[in-house]
Amino acid sequence: MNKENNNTSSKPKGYLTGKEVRAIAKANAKEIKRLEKYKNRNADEAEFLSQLKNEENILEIDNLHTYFFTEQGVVKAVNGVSFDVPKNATVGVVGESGCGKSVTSMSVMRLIQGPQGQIYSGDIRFAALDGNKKKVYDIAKMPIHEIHRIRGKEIAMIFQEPMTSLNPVFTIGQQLDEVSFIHNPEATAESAKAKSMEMLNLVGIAMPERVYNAFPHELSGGMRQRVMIAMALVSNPRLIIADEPTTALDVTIQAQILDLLRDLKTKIDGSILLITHDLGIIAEMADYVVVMYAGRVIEKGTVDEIFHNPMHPYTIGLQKSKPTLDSDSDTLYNIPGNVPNPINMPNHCYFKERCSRCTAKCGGEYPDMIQVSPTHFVACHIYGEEAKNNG
Amino acid sequence: MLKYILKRLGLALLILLGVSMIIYFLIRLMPVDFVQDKINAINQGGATVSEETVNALYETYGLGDNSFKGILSGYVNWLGALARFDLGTSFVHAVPVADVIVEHMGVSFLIALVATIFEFMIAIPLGITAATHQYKLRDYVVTVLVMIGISLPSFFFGQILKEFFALRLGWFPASGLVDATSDYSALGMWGQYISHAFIPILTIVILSIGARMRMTRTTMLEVMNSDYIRTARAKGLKESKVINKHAFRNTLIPLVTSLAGLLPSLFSGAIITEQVFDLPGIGKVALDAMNRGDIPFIMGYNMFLALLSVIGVLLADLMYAIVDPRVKLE
Repeated sequence: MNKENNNTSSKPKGYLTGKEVRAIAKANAKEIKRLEKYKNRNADEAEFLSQLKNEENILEIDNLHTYFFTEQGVVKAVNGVSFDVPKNATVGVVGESGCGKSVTSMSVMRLIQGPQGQIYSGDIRFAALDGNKKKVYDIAKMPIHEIHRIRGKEIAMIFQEPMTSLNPVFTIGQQLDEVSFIHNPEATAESAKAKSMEMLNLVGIAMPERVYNAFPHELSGGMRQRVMIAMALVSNPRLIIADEPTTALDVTIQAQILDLLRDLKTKIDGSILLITHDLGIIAEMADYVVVMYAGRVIEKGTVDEIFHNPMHPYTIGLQKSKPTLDSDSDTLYNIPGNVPNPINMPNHCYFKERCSRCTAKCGGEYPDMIQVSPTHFVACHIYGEEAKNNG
Repeated sequence: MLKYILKRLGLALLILLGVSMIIYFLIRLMPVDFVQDKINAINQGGATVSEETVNALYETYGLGDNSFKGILSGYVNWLGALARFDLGTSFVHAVPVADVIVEHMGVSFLIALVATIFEFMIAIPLGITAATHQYKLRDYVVTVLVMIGISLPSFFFGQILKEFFALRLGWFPASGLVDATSDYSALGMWGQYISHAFIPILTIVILSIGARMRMTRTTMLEVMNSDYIRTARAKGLKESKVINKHAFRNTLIPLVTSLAGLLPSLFSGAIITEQVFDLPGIGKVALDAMNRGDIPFIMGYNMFLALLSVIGVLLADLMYAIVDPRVKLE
């Protein structure tokens, strides 16, 4: 950072000389080429088979790095994220815009937009069912053409933009049936339609026959999100990733969609990875919470621990910035400052500049994850001292 | 739907009326004078033409009065004849305008049709590969090649192809549409047409691919970045299916619409290319008529194109409603 400052003192912040731009472009091209080659390679199954650390988990993300190679430099959108999704649990990932929560979920689906966006390193271990045999795949190491073993079949995704996430030129029925045809080789036109209708019923659509024959533009936002959920359910996935499923919807529809998701979890016997920036939704839906900040997990634990005993100053700030009915204050608390620029991140705690409890130690190395209870982890220097003193 | 079409056709009549008025006045104000040219030709032959004959000639061709009133009455006369489905008689060819158009249009239409088919068949796949391999070698190679195509003027590139294929290699005839020494059976005639039209069509195709390919590439890129393509991938579809089914179907919307808009250009003839290869197409005839002030022919030709343009726009709108379910015509 100091060196950085010396370099930039004579020119405006963010300004790059032609030489620097060329150096970045050259380095990017090299890395992209290497990663694209790795992504498109042919590999034996053995190469991407793996073992879970804990058999109770369905998904384990371990030290995941997802980078975007931009003209201004490498954006480390996901920078060493680790968390687990246990079987039959809902895990909520929360954080403000641009903290890397969507990129994490896209990485699990391998939907990162290449060639600029690439999974740089790390493991995404997923317990898949191949026939009746359990197989643990490392999704991050899978060649991209093998991803159809999992994508849409074992893991399905619900996106945050129901208005634009359906193809405008195909009917709802065509788009739903397609999922059956992809994942079930024995599907016939009748069986696919029966399955689609069943799913439309399941998500509470009143006139499934009419919706089945409708085009996306003929449906409201809430209806479209129900269709998206139905589409995710057609292949009986064991993990559903819901990426801000209610952000684009109004509040009453939000409540309906959340009820629906909660119902579904009991019906489908699977796990949900819920990405949101709404703490209310997390409190209502999740069993476990992962708090992300600037591409890193800063705190994770059960929903109880995060809401009743938040430890990281950022999590505490988030809790304080929730609107409450019993407060007399006219203004809502907010955390001062902004998320740091994701290019050339300093090697100290990213929250340092905004933190009210900053100590001298915060200028040092990025803090490690500290375990404060069997399920509660936090990355902050304040607790590092305590942990050392205690034991 | 029928009501919409009828309404649009009614509107088209008004548009055509306006177009014809503007074209007629513009032509009458053009600094070419068919009668004067005719007299000059006679004078050059050594004969003298008397004042009365000159006036009589002007009266015969309806060009006597060049005041506003005179032009207006000329226009009304033309319009009256049109109402009786009579486009008038061409000054130059001395036969009804409609006959001249029909006689020369066939060649131009066939060449344009074949060229357009090849243009779409080549440009669309090129645009799609360029888009799906954005910023890779394939994209750059395709883009550079079609940019060269766009940049070449047809009179220059036509000559080069002619030099290469016709004069150096001798594979195809250099100009015209039929040779003098040919068999005149139906099959033989078609063989003649094809071998003569080959280089002109090649010229037109190479020069026109660029724009269509760029359009396909841009549309495809836009579609590939949309949320529903991400949804299609998330379903587990193979990439080839994502591109050929979900993305291509959406890319087709502007392409099909632009196809309908091409209607007038199918019949207008390629003025410069026909000139280079000495083809008896309608573009060459029209240019000739322009130079010699053949007012009835220019009117007839331009009104024919205006009619096709209006129909083309209407067809484009109808096509839109067919390929894009979001569009409803009211």
